[in-house]
Amino acid sequence: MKTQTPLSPAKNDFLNFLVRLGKIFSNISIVSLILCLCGVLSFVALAFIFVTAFCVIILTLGTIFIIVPNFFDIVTSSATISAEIASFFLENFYIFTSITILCAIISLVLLLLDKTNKHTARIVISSIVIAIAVLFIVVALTGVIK
Amino acid sequence: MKNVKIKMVGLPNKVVPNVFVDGEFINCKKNNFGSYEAEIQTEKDDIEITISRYFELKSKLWWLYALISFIVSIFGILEPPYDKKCISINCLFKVKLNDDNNQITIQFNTLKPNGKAAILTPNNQFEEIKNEYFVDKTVKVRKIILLVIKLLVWIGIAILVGYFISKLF
Repeated sequence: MKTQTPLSPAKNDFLNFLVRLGKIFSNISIVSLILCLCGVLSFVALAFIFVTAFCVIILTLGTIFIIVPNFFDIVTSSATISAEIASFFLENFYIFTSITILCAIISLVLLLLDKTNKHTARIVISSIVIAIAVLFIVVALTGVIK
Repeated sequence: MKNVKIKMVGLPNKVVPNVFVDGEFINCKKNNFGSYEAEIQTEKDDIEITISRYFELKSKLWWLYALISFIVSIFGILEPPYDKKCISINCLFKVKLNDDNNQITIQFNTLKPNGKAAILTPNNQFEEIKNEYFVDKTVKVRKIILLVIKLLVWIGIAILVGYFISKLF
């Protein structure tokens, strides 16, 4: 027999959905901050290549080695690619920093809407992300990052 | 006017309770010690407390919320996972109220697919109508539907990624 329990009101469901979106935006802001770092530090870009390659292998269930036979060589010869990726992120530095700050602010607002639970850890992380992103912009404006 | 304080202790971190008193939804708040608290005022001599578990996949617009979450989280990559075991709570207590303050503490047992969910420790007389943990099949089915759709989308993306990489190099 199927057990029936009462459903929460639609307004409550919507608020919880907003909190879920807040968590997603918090995750996006963290990833976006890492992408900003890719531009500033080329070794982060190298790590980014390896993580992306790993994701591609997982997503394609290993068939990437059949589709692109020299995939492993491409990944291992990533020094030059990392420089290209670093320059790409550096060129779009302000876009990624803006995305980081915007997503972190949205996540903060949405997480603060939750009256039932306190998302202290996520709120602290989002605040730190905003602080780091602002610091990046200040450093970029001083001319250290070109 | 009678004051009723309901305290729910021992719930795992991920479990958010839905509390209804006489069929009306009551907002509860998590305190610093991880317990949920709710406070109501009533004129009645006895109240019916219903406790269930909140699931994102149980709401009326679950498919819309899941779709938006999936798209915003870059095809589910940055999405917080849904609960794996889908264990829900089904508690219904009838509590006789005292004239003044009524403190009702509900101590929950460890989450498991079946068995007694909670122990009620009120200073008042009470009747236990329902008190069990159960696996919510509706949520489980919806979770499987979502997983299948996600897998199909991911396979589609994988094919596209493979195609573009082969074109690039």
